[in-house]
Amino acid sequence: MRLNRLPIPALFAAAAVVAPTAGAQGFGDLTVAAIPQYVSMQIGTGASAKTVTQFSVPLLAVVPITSHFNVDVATAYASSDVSSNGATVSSITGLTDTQVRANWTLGSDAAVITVGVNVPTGQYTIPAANAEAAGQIGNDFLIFPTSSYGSGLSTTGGLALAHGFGSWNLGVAGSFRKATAFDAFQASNGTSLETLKFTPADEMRARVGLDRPVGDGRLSLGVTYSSFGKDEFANHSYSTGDRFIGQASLFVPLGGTDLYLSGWSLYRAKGEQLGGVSNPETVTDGSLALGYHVGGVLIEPSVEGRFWQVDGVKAGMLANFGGRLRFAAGALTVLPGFTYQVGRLYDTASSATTIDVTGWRTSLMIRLR
Amino acid sequence: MRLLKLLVLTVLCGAAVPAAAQQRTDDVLAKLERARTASPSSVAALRSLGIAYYKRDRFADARTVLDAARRLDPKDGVSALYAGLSAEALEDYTGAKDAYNSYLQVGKTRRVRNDIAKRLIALSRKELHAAAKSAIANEARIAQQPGEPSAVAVRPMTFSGTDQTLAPLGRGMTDLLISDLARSSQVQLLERDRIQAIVDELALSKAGQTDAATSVRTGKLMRAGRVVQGAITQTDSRNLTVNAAVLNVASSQQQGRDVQASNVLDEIFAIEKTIALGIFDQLGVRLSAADRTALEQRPTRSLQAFLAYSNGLLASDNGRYDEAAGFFDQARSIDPGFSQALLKAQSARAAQQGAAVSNAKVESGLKGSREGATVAAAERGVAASNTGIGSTLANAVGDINPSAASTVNTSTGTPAQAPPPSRDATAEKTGTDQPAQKTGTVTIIIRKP
Repeated sequence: MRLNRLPIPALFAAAAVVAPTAGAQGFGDLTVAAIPQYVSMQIGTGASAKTVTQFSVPLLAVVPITSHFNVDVATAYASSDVSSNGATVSSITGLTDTQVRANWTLGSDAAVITVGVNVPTGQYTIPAANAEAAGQIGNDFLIFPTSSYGSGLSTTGGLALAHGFGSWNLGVAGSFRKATAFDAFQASNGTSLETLKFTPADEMRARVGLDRPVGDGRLSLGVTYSSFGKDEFANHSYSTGDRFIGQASLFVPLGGTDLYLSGWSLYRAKGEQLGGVSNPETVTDGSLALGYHVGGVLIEPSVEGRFWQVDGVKAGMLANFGGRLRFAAGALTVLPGFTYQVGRLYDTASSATTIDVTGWRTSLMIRLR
Repeated sequence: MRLLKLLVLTVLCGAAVPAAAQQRTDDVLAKLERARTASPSSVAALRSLGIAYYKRDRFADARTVLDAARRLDPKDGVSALYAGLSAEALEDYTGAKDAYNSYLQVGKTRRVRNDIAKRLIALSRKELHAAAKSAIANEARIAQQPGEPSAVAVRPMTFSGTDQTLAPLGRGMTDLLISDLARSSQVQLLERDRIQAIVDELALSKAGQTDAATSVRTGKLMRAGRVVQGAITQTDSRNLTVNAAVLNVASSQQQGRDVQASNVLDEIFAIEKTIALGIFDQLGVRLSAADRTALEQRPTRSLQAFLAYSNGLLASDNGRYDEAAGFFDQARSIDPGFSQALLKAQSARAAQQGAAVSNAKVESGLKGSREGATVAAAERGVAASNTGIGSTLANAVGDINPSAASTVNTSTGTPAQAPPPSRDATAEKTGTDQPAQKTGTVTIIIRKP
């Protein structure tokens, strides 16, 4: 069965929650969840159209060891496929890397020391035939559930601090990520295939966030800054543009209706890539969602708009129209969701050239309440 | 075949969930009890344990630890709220009202405060009946304690006649009489609602007792010194006779003589004034000129408005608030100057809204708020603070060391897509992440230096 023809019932049937197991202190609260998601995006129309699909099942576990120390583990099984005229031109299937993260809370929610390890369980040494499928899912504008199959062994250490100032809470955090080399590609050197090493740049992140109650709701603001060293690829160094992500969200219950407003903007500064300059780009997203309480079901229709610029020139627009339900089924909370996407990509050299984009995505999350 | 495997997997997981959920329930409780043992003076630990007990219908246990949390921090709204819910489940309505009133003072979630304010009104009737039941259960002890001589209870007047549409006049006449007797500072009138609750509960238990005996019991249970009882008799289609008497609770004897007034139906207010003056005489109360002038005031001069008002009182006494509000509105529409009907309509409407506020509605009002986050944390076995600082930290950690595992505990918040938490370095460097590129095999040629 081809994955991009997988029927929705089968997708939903794949949703599973493995309930907590009895055991020693802390492990009794183990939560393991699988959250199947399916995305299909058609880029272009007619004979030149290509379709990028992804069936992804993130596998997540959270283990509270003590009330102040927990470990979580995340990986995913994903199948990504690029097809044109009904024929697959590139695909990649398998596990992604596994992130293991330990968080130690100090005091009464005063600080958290976080340590993470990216374990290279994913797909490496990607043959050229699979490279397109592996690359397309990494796009910051279209956003696929699984954006990478592997980024090599790396470790991240960080510290987050929070403090209340009147009704405002301030959160300040920083981290450092050290990466190691891995065999990234098999590429032709003209006569034979050669395996190429890639060493992702080290990354330093800093984040400042503020939040406060607004009526019965909450306003949250945050800015995250990432500074990178240089990626090493086949004995060449390539600078990587720094990243800024600004985020704002407002949740306010208004009578019987919940209002969600959120927005974010990702700016990546100028960098280098194979063959030349990687121009700066900005992706800006805004969304509005309403939550209606109907009996025991929360119905959340939403609309979302996204705008992409490369070097200050319009590169893409995307509108998402979706809905999500949230309801309890015994001890479980169930969240099925569906989104229709429609948009356009623009040639940054000539805005007259456009490519239509349409797609849909669906997801199902089930977790113990 | 793959579909079959998926379905089998789902069925197996589904079978495991109930047992596992029970296991989780036990583990959460055990964890919170350990936290309480480790920090018996921690408001967060006590509050979370109390919430967990409440969620498992262990209301008495919940009440104990939540009251302890409230003593340690009287400004903790969540503890007050769940103490109120637990007390109500235990039918301790006085305790519930106390806790709810605390929540109105210190609670942070406006939606819940609004619900609780409405619920408090509906709770009053439950409280009165619970108090009446308790008084009857402890009648032997209460009867030993003499009532205050100036405390007067007016029992609901009975009605006998052929036109039963006039029967509610008994409630209206009692209400008027209480209002008029209360004009004198020499007597202390007991509230009509409290008396009605006692009478209702006694009606459920009395067997073959005379009205006088029941009146004395009512007086003793309410610690009244004297009880006024009366009866309305429809003598023919247009005439009424009202008889009333004052009973001395301590002696169980009638005090003075009977009071009687007769007149045509339309003069019911004149009848009531005659009865009121007569009762003042039997009570030994000498009215001042000002009191007598005040006594002449009538809330309405319309018999139809008063009949609708009386119907409203009857419906309200029986907990039919919607119907009661309709009758009071009707009285008001017949006589726009009938201000007492307006007040009663507002009260009935508030009680109706309060009766519609379920526990589930109160709790759902917490969702999305900081207090809701505290409750959600308690359900997971976490003794969280009330300040939201925990989620501030979680957001910070999620951004500097991102992991998909963070989504496990995310079921609130916007359904929109979050920004990409990390870059795909190899796709970024090779440019294969660009969606507008042509379809085909990507060949990367690197020439060795």
